Amino acid sequence: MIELLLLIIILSVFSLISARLFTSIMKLNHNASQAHTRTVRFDSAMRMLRADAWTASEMSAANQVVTLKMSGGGQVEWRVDKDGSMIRASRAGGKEELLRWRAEVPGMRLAVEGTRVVMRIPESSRARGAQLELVNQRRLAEGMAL
Amino acid sequence: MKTHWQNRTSRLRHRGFVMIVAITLLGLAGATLAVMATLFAGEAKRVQSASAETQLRQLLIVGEAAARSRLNLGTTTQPVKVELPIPLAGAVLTFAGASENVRIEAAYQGRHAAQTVSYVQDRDAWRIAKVTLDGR
Repeated sequence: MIELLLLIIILSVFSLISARLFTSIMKLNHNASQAHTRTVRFDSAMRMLRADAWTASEMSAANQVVTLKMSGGGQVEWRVDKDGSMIRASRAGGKEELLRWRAEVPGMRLAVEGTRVVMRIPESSRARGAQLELVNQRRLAEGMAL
Repeated sequence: MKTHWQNRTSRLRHRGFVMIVAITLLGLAGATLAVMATLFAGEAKRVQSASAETQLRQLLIVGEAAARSRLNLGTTTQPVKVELPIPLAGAVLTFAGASENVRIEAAYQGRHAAQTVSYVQDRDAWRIAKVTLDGR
């Protein structure tokens, strides 16, 4: 009788631990893949924003919207939604295009400072605080008198 | 009252259950380790790639300045190689073309970046009129 009781206790403990372990493993796998997807989306948006900032002929910012006039003609507007999505709206030759990346990093802010577009990411559970500076080739060259 | 054989069968059944659960958990833990390893390897690659791309952007900026400083000398049909400091021994930076279309190319750690810059003369100085980055 005692043996049976002990066996039931051991099996219960084992079941509890294995259930916890199973849940943790599944959660970890899910979170890891989600984090990877978010990183890929953010990198993709940043690559595009960096290239836009690099080639722009004019840059300005107002109400959290960065407007870049492209040297080849056309205009690109970048903004960040409250949910952390990065949005690029471009207009060139009568054609309009809207791209959205669900980067899910809340509180990102865009600004234009001197020769660069600055993106500020506040400290949160999802991201470490950071400041990314995306230079503009034209303004940088104007600052480097040869 | 259970016989010796009934007891043995019951124990074996219990052992079988525990064994299956243990093997399943080991499999899951193994899969998680594999996922984590892939994630870390990807992250390391991403950091290395970001570092190389930063260096390439710096090289393009230097290339633009070097190209602009030679615009008054006229068109360069052959690519001009820019001398780089020793820490950048593996990097290559070249530019070629005339003021309306100067092609600047940089290579570093197996990665490549290039831009085409058009200039206009503004009094004594050259000003950038248009920049086109490769891959856009």
